[in-house]
Amino acid sequence: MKGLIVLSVMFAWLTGCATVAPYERERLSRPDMGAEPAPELSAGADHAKAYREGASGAVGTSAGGCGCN
Amino acid sequence: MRVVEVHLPPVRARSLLRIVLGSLSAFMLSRAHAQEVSSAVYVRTDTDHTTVVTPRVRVGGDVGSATRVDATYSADIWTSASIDIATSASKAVTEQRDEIDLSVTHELLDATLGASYRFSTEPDYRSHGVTLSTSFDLAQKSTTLALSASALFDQVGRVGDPRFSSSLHTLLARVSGTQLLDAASWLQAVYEIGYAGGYLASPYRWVGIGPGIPRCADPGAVCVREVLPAERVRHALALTVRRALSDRSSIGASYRFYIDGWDLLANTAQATFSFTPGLETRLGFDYRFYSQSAARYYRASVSSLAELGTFTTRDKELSPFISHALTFTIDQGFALGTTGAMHLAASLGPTWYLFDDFPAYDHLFAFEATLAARIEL
Repeated sequence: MKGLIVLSVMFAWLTGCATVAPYERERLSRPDMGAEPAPELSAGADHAKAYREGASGAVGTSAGGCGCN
Repeated sequence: MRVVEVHLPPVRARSLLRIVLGSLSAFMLSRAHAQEVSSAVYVRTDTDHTTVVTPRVRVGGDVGSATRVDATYSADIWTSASIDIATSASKAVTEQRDEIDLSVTHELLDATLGASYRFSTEPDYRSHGVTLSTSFDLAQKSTTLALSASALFDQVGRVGDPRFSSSLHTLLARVSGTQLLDAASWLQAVYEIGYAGGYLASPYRWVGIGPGIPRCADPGAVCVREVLPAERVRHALALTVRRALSDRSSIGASYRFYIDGWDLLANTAQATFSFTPGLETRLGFDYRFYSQSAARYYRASVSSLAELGTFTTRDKELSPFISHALTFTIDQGFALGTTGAMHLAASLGPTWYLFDDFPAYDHLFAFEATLAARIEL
């Protein structure tokens, strides 16, 4: 819960609740500006990392669902 | 030699399930428009004698104007004679895991609702997973808030030991916020909490007692099974920012902080650069740094039985290490008719792992490559 509050405060402070009009978003709509530019390329590597590192979550594939030990 | 197929579902039952899921997917997709098909093959090999090949096929499309369905099949085919396998007195092992993932998303004005189901099966493991998600767009879609919750129900077996059967339940919750900062950049913050309860050890991993790296196959070797607590709570917090530098290039950076109830603390930093030399060609360069501390129960070596704690593991994934990964990506698009498109893409790159306290080796080198094709009609 503490992390969620910190996250919300940081997010609000960093963004300042900016509004970008739709006609200003030409660059933002390019494929390379997406949060996941090529999911079909990253899925396998994300899965492999999730089972070879002790940490997981918040980015890429969540761990769980296989006995990939 | 480990023998495949024990007490998990009979082949006929699994085949029936595949047929049912395949039929359901076919029915959903037969009602879909704007079909999209993609396939990819991921290959990973490393100096610990482990090779993974993962083919993946995804079919998706729109059902009506606001609903989308996707069906994905993937398989993990891996062969290993790693140090873990060797110390467990086994020869090289080859196994296959099959996974089916079905998802539906529906748009409602400024909100999106989603649900997905995932089933995976392998000779010694079976898993069912359900995810529900929702997202909301605010401030003319300059802000997006998203929530998701997942539940996984796993059954753990041990090849060659039909009496062994344990369960594992995992609950995950993720909240994220994405904000457009200006006409060329955005920021995303993600927090995820996870709870795992049940059998969290590996049914194959042994802890050798004695100096060096005792091999359990050696005469007189004393080995005990890895034992880990039945609960683990994870927290992960990630920040990502991306900015367009020009009409042809962009950069991105991300950082993740992770901590869990086993005292494992990790930091992940990533930097990406993307360049578009032509209308349909995109190049990407990616560097990723990862570091983690040891989990509380990790022991590099145990010299006598008296040193054993209640929980002990020799899993290198719970040992302290860092890694550096480089990835190069190329994506080439082609027009198909007046509205369709095809993309051919590839990524490849090395990863170096540097272990601080793992007695079998102090470094590991891995190489990963993916080839992918996507057709949008």
